[in-house]
Amino acid sequence: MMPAVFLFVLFTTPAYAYLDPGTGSIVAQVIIAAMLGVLFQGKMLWRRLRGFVAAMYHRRKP
Amino acid sequence: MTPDNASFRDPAGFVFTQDGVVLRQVNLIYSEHYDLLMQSGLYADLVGAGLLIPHREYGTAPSAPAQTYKVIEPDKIPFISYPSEWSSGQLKQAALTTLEVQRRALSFGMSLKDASSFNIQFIGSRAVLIDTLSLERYVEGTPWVAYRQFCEHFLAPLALMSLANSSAAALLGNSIDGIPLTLASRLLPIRSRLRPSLLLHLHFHTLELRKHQNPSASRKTGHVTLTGLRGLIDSLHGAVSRLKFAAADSEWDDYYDRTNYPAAAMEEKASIVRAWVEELKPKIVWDIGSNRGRFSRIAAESGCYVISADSDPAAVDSNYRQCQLRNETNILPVVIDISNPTPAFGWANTERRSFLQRGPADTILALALVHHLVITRGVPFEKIAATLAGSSTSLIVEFPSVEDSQVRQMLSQNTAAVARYSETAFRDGFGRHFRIVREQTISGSHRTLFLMTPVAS
Repeated sequence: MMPAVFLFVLFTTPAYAYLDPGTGSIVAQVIIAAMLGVLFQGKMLWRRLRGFVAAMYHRRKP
Repeated sequence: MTPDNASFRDPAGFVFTQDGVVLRQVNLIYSEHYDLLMQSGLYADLVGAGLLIPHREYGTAPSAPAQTYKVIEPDKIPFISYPSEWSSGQLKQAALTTLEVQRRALSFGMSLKDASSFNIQFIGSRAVLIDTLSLERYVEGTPWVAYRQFCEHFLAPLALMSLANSSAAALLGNSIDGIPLTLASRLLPIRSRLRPSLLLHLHFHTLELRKHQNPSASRKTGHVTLTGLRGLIDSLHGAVSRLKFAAADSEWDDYYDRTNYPAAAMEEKASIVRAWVEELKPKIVWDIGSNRGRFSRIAAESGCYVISADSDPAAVDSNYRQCQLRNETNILPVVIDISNPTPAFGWANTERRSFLQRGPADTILALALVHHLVITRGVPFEKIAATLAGSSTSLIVEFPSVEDSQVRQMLSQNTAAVARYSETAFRDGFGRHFRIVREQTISGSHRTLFLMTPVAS
């Protein structure tokens, strides 16, 4: 199911890299990176939020 | 001009030797990427962090002018080692270095086009990327072309060593392509699937590779956002960092704690070795059978670079951890079994050199070694001497006599070796290839140290 959702982003363009990772690896990466990208964004947001709260807290302290 | 046998796959350039200097040619086809590397600030950032080998642009006429953009002279690597010669800690460090290079590259608009473990070399404890031409312009939306290679060269072997068996390092053997993901996925225990990062990067990755086994007419590429790529690198970094390696059931790891040497004799041995190395002033020392590197460190005091080789991965890993703690840059621990050293491998058996081809050393240290080779491994003294004489210009070797408690115990378990092991046999075998310059018995022990130089055969 999940691969089908992401497969639409696969299109054919020639790749010039001298390394050929193979179609399967690219498909896997497209799917994995889509999921991890969302998680990563959440992680960065959470870090920024924590930093912001910490900064506020420090500012209030005399 | 001698082209390097290991540098022919990447059309961006190649390595060659000219008048004894190792140089790298940058081909015109790569000029845009090279300029971006130098001008974007990425080169300075990576070199500043000790992640990339520094280089100077070299003035002389290039070897293939029609394709040449520039010729660069990278800093010299004292000794080239291969992934199968690294302990788990070293392979992990090499993996983290590769990921850190990629992470930084992305913030400068560049990306690694390969992630081969052979592109990482150690200068003592430091892992550095030596292939300057591995970095190319990053095109928004493109996947990381080296993702699969990273998984095969680093993640798969590390996961196997951590979760399956520490001896899985042997699977790297003479491989130039790491460990196939299908094999790794099959060999890893079920619990590896409970780790989300391994489930994705190894098991799911394998599943997709199997599904798309038949190559289609045109190569496919897909869309991966920059954030997706950053997430991917971050996840791989986490996966590698979390892998722990049990101090394997090492035969030798507690060696110094249970040696049959009285402390005073050990001190005397150390001071003799120190004095002889000072006198020899070698640049490169091979300490074969180095265990955790105690005598490598004594030799290194003289300012030489020591290849600290042992057959036991746990001892080598412990040695490497000491190197890291002390930030040492002149001791390179490697897993080498001198009775079966790394062979030459890769294309035409010349792409990667055998251990002995990477010599000769100026001085070889063979301390507390020959009795193991003769009694346990069954190698005659004469054969040991012939090999060492061909690989060094001086040798410091320790001979424990038959009265030595350890030798006595070993001989009692291997009666066939009794006839072969004696001081006469030692002097006779080594005498055929070496001239004895000095010899000194270590007081309070049944062991003698010899300083020898090879005779012309």
